Amino acid sequence: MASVHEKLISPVADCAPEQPRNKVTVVGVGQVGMACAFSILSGNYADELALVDVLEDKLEGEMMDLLHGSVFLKTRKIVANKDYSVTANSRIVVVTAGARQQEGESRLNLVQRNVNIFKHIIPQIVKYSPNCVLIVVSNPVDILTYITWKLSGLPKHRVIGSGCNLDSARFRYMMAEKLGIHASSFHGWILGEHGDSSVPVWSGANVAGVCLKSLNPNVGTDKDQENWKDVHKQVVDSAYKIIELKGYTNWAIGLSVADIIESLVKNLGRVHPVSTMVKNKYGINEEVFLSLPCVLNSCGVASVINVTLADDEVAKLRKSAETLWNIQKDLKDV
Amino acid sequence: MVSKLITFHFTEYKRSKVTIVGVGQVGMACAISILQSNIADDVTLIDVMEEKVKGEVMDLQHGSLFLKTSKITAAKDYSDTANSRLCIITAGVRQKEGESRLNLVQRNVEVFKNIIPNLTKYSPNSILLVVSNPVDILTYVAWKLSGFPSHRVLGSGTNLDSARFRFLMGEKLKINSTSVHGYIIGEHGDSSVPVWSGANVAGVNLQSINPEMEQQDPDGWKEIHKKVVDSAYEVIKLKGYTSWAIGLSVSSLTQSILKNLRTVNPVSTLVKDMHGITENVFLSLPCILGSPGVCGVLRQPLQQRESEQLRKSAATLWSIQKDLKL
Repeated sequence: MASVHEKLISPVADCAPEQPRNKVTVVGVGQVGMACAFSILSGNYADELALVDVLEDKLEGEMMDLLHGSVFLKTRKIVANKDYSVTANSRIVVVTAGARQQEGESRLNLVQRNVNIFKHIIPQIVKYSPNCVLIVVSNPVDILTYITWKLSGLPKHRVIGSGCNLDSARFRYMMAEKLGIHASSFHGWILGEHGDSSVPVWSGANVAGVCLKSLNPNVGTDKDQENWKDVHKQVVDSAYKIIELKGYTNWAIGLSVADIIESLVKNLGRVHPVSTMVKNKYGINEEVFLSLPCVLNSCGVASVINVTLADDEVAKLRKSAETLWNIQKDLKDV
Repeated sequence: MVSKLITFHFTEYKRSKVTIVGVGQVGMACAISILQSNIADDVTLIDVMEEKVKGEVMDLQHGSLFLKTSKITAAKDYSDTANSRLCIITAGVRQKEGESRLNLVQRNVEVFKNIIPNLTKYSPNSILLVVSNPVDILTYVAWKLSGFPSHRVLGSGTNLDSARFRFLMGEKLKINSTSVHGYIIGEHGDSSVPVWSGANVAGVNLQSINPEMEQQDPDGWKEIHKKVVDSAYEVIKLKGYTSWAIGLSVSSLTQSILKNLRTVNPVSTLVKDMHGITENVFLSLPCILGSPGVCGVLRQPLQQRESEQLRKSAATLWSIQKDLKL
């Protein structure tokens, strides 16, 4: 007897399963990974979403929970598996896997723990999606982006660290709040190392092209009576603060990663402060990744904006490069 | 410097404020869904766990650059929730693995006695949307404790069950779930009622193609309803809780209310005098949702067995409700 399916539907085209055009994989279904996944789904950037993790039950549960929301979403295919074959043909792969920063733990302390995890993850990703763009979110992001670049063998324009995209978003939000405007109307860049040693480029901070420095020449310095420098400190302390209050951060990083993905998938050519290979810039001789304003389009990092930095800002970048290299050079099996 | 840079003219006023009570996984999923849909201009979160609320709000605020909701607030007390158009209640103790929804009841009633009077004090004209389980009973409790007219108190009810139902049917027919129509009504949970007589694709009634659907069911359609009922338990077993689907479903209801869309959604509403129900209970029926809240209820023709099931649920709920200390 014919089934309901057969009685209801007359087939017309023999629709063989198509290759996805904008497949995004998220590695790691912890709080950060799932926040990234949800933001990607909300933004309708992917035609297929794949999730990978080692915790099989958690992975299946998260996938099922997302699928149950299908009526409200526009991403038809959501798949999950411990096996990396599920990630095949991804355009973008987001790596959030790894050990989480503990309360008070600095990002640099996470390093060797996460290197060992990446040695397992990265080769598999590249095996199944040799043409993808890799976005590294796990901390310490600048070092792990370097490691990902080394382990993947991909050209440097296809390995991006989420870097200071979030720091800059936080900076823009906090500065905008002080000025009573929306974050998107405050322009300011935090570059360099994601974390304690990030560099707020005060010379570029502006609203509608009006440079804050032209209104207050001391902005960002210790001499500044309005103490705008404190905003940068708040940005640096953000993660620690939030971790202390709620145990982890996820929403802001998820939104910021989806924002990067939008530029990549839609070939927008927008400029984002993300972690890229900076050797030979600003007198840096080491192979390290730091955040600079990068033009992102479908190939990855198409180009880098040459920001004029003050001497002390350049010095900070070079010091970060040195610090990162000191750790990187001692890493085993990279 | 601020005054050098900007000449202020006037201050803003709020129009569409949503308060979410409870910042657990469900509350936060509701929050992020609502924020990413750009339907509210003010989202306020409140919970007894003050540090957690602060941390969650801070995390959301840090995403402001990517959002279009100008105000995200961590309420220090209920006065911060004042003038909300919609209050979403997700607070309460969570279903444990294997625990049926009905077992949660008295635990959550005590929690609601703290929440509801405070919400209504500061937002006397708002709409209450209850998500906490057991949702049908707790929607009744919220209604009683608030003193609000019944059209302004609704429960998320079977909106999620119906979404899951449509997803599963869509998978079976290889059609997008938004093109498969079917309602699950009644009690959210084990005794929900799949209205097979209404299930259709492009107006083609599935039952008319396969009259055996409910009884012999060679195709395994009844399985689908069972899977919907088991869904929450399954997901909880695998990942510890459910969040994303309920968040999306609540956001969809929020959108209908705030934007006065008058969409039809299966939500938990006062069903006394419908389908022969005589008790003051809340069950899910297809409701028209708009700014006033529940603007109307569809008189959905039900088969004998379906309306019997509704009356049975009503009786079960009432037998629990009548003993509650409110």
